[in-house]
Amino acid sequence: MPGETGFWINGIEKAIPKGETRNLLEFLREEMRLLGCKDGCSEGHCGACTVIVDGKARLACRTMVSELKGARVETIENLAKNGELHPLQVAFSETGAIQCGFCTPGMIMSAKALIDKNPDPSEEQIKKALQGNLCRCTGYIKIVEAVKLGARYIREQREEKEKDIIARVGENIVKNDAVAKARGEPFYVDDLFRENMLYGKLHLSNEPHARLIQVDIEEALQVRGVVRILTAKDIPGRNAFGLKIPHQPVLAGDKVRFTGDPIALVLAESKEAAKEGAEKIKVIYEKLPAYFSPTDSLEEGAEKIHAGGNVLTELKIKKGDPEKAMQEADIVVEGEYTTPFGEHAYLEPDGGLAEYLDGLITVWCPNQGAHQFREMIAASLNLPLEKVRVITTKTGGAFGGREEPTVQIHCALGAMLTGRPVKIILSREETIRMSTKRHAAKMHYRTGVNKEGKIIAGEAKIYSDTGAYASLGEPVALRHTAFAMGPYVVPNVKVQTFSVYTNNTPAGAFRGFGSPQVNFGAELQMDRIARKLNMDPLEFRLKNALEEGEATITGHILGGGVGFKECLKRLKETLQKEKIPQPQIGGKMGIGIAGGYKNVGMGAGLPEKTGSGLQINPDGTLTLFVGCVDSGQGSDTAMAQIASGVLNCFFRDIKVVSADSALTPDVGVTTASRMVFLSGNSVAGCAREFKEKLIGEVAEKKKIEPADLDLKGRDFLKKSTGDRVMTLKELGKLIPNLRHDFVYQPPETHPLSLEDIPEKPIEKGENHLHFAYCFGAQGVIVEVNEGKGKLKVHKVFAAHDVGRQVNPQGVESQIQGGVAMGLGYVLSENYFLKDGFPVQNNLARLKILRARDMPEVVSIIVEDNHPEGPFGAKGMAELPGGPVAPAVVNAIYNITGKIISRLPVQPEDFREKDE
Amino acid sequence: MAKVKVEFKVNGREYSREVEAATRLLDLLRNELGLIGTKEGCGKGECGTCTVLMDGKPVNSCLVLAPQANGREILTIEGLSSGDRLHPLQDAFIKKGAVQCGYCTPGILISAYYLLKNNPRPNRDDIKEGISGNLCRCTGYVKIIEAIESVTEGREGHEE
Ligand code: FES
Ligand code: FES
Ligand code: FES
Ligand code: FES
Repeated sequence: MPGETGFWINGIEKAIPKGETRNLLEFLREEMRLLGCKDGCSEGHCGACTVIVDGKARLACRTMVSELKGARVETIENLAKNGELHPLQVAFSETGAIQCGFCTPGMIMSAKALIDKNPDPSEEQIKKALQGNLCRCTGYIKIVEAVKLGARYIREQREEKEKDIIARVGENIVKNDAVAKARGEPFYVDDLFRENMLYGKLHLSNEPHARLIQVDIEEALQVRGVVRILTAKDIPGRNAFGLKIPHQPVLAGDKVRFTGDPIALVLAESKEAAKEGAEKIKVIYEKLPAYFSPTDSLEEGAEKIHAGGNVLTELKIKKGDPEKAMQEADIVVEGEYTTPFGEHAYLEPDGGLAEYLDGLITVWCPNQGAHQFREMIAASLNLPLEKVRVITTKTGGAFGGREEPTVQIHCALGAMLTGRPVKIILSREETIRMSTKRHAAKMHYRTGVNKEGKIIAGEAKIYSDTGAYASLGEPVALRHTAFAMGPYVVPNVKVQTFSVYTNNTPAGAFRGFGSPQVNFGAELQMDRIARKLNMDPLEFRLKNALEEGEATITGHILGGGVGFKECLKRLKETLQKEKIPQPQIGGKMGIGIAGGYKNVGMGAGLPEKTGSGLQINPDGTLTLFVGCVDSGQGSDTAMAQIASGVLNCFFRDIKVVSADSALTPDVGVTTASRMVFLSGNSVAGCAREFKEKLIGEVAEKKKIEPADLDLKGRDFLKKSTGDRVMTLKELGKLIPNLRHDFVYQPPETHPLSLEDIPEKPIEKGENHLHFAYCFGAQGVIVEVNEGKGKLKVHKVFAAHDVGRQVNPQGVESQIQGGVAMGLGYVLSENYFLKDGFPVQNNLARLKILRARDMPEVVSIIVEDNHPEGPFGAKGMAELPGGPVAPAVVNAIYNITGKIISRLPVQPEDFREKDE
Repeated sequence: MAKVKVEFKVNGREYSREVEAATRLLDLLRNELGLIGTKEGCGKGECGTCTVLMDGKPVNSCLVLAPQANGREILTIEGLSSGDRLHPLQDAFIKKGAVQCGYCTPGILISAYYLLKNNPRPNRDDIKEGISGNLCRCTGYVKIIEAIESVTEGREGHEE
C-alpha cells in the first residue's frame, strides 16, 4: 500500500527497501539519479541539498529514507513543467542570482517552500527562510531579489489563471466591461472625435402647439462658423420617425405639437457657433390651443393634435360578468389614482456621431435597438438599409428612454448632406425636453370582494397621457389594461384604457412599460379592501394570488414559473423577524407592502425577433454577436456567461459584439426584460450548435469520433484518454473566422383578446398574452412625522421571482437600482410642463435620489425556474421599480390613516393640519 | 476671443495650453488633453460625473474655468491607477458590482478617493454624504457604498 511501505518523489511512488540505511541525499543521487540535489558538506551546514518534504524545506543529507514512510518529496527537477521554467527559476536567471550555481537548487527549494506558504513574503521573511543556505559567490543580495521577483511572478500567474474561468449560469461573474469602466476608458458617444467634424445644434419649437408660418434662417447663416442649416425641405426621405407610427417629424415643417419638436438643424465648425446659430433662427408661429391633460384634449371641439383626432387608442377587455359580480359583492371599494410623467434621467445625455463614407452612413450612438434606428435613419435619408450602419456606443443608462431616436437621424442627415462627420450631443435640458417620458395616468378603480376575502369583481378605467406623439403609447396602453388588477385572480373584470394625445412631451417606454401606473392603483385598492375586511394585507394578497393553473384577467391560464405566493411568503417571514428601528425624524414607524407582476417579452402575438452568432478567431478567441444593447444592465456579461458555460470555454476568451447593425442580428428593441429570455435562449442554442461544429472540425482533422471529443477551456480533449488533441488557437488558425448563427423560436403568444373572456377559462394554450411573467412583493419600513410633514423610508425588502438567476450580483444590482427609481417615483420625482415647457428641466429639479437618500435594501430572491427560459432564467429588471411606490403609500396610511392617491407624495398629503 | 495660457499638472504630468478664457476645465481635460474619463452629465454642477480633484479638493470641472486651473494640480480618473495596477477603490467597485452603465463611475471614484484620503474610517453615513454630490441612476448606490466601505481602513480586503 502506498504510504505504508513507500514514499513519493516528485509524485512517483518509491518503495523503501527493507533495511534501507541511506539518507535522502544519497538515495536521490545514487538510486534515483536526481542530481540537482547537491552535496556541499553532508553535515547539514550548507543547505545545498535542500528539498521539500511534506511542504517544508528539509536538508536531504540529514534525512533518513527509513523515516520517510508516506512522505512527499519534491526536488528541483520537479519545478520546470512542459518545458517551461518555474517562475522562481526564471527570476533567479533574470536577476543574475546564479554564479557558480552549486547553491542554486537548494536556494530555490528553500524559496519555494516559503512562497508556497506565503505568496508575498517580506525581505525579512525571505532572509529568514534562506538562512540555512550558504552561497559563497553572490553575497545573497541578488538572491533575495530573485525570490521577491519569483514570488511576484507566481502571484501574477495565479491571478492570470484565476481569470481563466468557465462561467456558469448562476455564478457571480465580474462584468466584462467593469475594469475598463472603472478606469474611465470606454468611449461613450461624446468621447468620439473625428477630423473635420461639424457640431450640430437643433432649434426647437418654442410653442407647444402651432402651425409654422415661416422659418427664417438668414441671420443664423451669417454667424461665423455656421456651415449649413437644414430644415424640413432638406430631408430627402420620410420626414417622420416613430417605432410604431412614424409620424413624429424629424424637422417640423408645417406644425409643431410640443416644445421638443425640432425645426432646424444648424451645423457649424464649433459647438459655440452652432449654438449661436440656433438661437438666431426666427420662427413665426400661428398658435393653436394646447392641451396638457387628456381631460382637456378630449373635450368636445378640441383642436385635433393629429388628423385622426386626439385618441391614440382605446382598449377594452371583459372577463366574466363584472356588473353582476359587483352587485353581488359584500364590499366594494372605489378609488381614483394619478401618477405623473417620469423622466429616465439616464446619466449620459443623448447624442450621436455620424460619418458618410463611400455612400455608407455610419452612426455611433447610445440606443436600445440599433436595427430600429437604422430603419428610421434609412427611411429619412431615403437610402437602402444596407447603406446605413448603426453602431451602439457604450450606453450610459437607458431604462426605456433610448428606444426612440432624438438626434441620431439628424446626425446622419447632416453627415450625408455636408459630407463631413457630424456630432450632436444634447445638453441635459434638451435631453429632458426631447426624449420620451413615462406615461402619466389617471385611473378609476372599483373592486368587489365577498366576506371570505375573495376578490370577485374588478373594474378600471384608465386615461394614459401619451403626449404629442404615439411612440409606444399603444403597447403601453395594452400593459395598463392587462396588468390593471395586479397579480391576483379576479374572475370578473372590465378594464377600459384610453391612450390620449396632448401637447406634453411624448411618452413611450420606461422601465415597467405601463405597469407601474396600474401597479400603484391596484395595490392601493388591495390594502383598502383588506382594511375593510379587517384582514392582514399580506394574507389577503396570499388568498387571491395568481398561481399555476389560474387565469390572468386576460384569460391566460398560467403554466410554470409563477413564484408570486412564494415571494409573499418569503416577504412575510422576513418582515416577521424584522425589528422596527428607532425613529430618526421624530415620527411614527410603520410597515407597508405591495405586490406586482410584469411581462417578459413583448408578447401579444407580435413577432419576437431573436438570434445570435458565434465566431472563432485566428487567435483562438471567440466572438459572440448579440443584438441586445448593454446599457449597463449587464447583458454582454450575461450572454458571454451563457456561451462560456455551454461551450465549456473560458469566459474571458469570449469577446462580445453587441448591437451593431452590420454585424449582429436584428433582435428587436432591448426592452420588456426580454433579452435574458430571448437572446439568452438564442445564445445557448447557438453555443450548443457551434460547439458541435467545432468538434466536428477537430474530429475530421484528427480522425477521432466526435463523440469522443470535448472542449475544455482552450483545449479539445479526447475523452477516452484525456489527451489534448488540439487547442482553440490551432483550430482558429485552420478555420479562421468561421461563424455560426442561430435563431431561437420563442413560445407563441396571442394578441390581447378583445372578445369577452369566460369567468373561468378552461382551454389551455389560448390567450397566452406573454411567454413569461416575473413576480415580486415588496415591503417597506417607513417613518412619518405628521407635524413636520416629513417622511423617511428606513428599509426596503424586495422579494422577486426571477426564474433562475444568471448572475446573482447583477440581479441584486437590478433590484437595488429599480428600488431607487421606485422610491424616486413615490417620494420626489415629477415631470410636468408649464406654459409648454418642462418645469423639471434639470437633474436637480428632477429630484432623483442621491446616496444620502437611499435606505437599506434587502433583496430576497425566489428562483422559480421558468420551464422554457435559458437554464430557467426569465428576465427581471423592470419590476423592482414598481411595488415600492404603493408599499410606501400603504405604509403612510398604516401610520397616519391618511389615504393618498397620487404620486409623488407631497408633504401636504399627510401633514397634520392646524385646526 | 483672447487666449489665455494655462500651465498645470494633471495626474502628475505638466501641461501647458493656450485656451480661450471661457473654456471650462472639463473641456480642456477632455478635448485638449484627451482625458475622456471625466464625463459631462449635466454641465451645471448637478450630477458630479465631471468630478476631479484640484489641489486635492473635489470640484465639478464643468463649473471651473480652465484659467482657474493655472498653476494647480489636477487628479482625474486616469490618474487613480498606476499603470496596470488599479487603485483598491477601483478593484472594489469591480468586484462588488458597483459599476453598471459606468457613466457615473469615474466621478464617484474620485469623490470616494477624496473621502478616504481625508477620513480613512468613514461610517456608512459619511460614505453616503461623501458621494451625495454624484448621481447614479443605475445602481441605487447600495453596491457603490459597499465597495467604498470594503476599502476603508481596518476592513477586510483593504490593501496597502
Ligand atoms: S549537503 Fe546537506 S547541508 Fe550541506
Ligand atoms: S552561486 Fe556559487 S555558491 Fe551560490
Ligand atoms: S457635468 Fe459637471 S456636475 Fe454634471
Ligand atoms: S452606473 Fe449608470 S449612472 Fe451609475
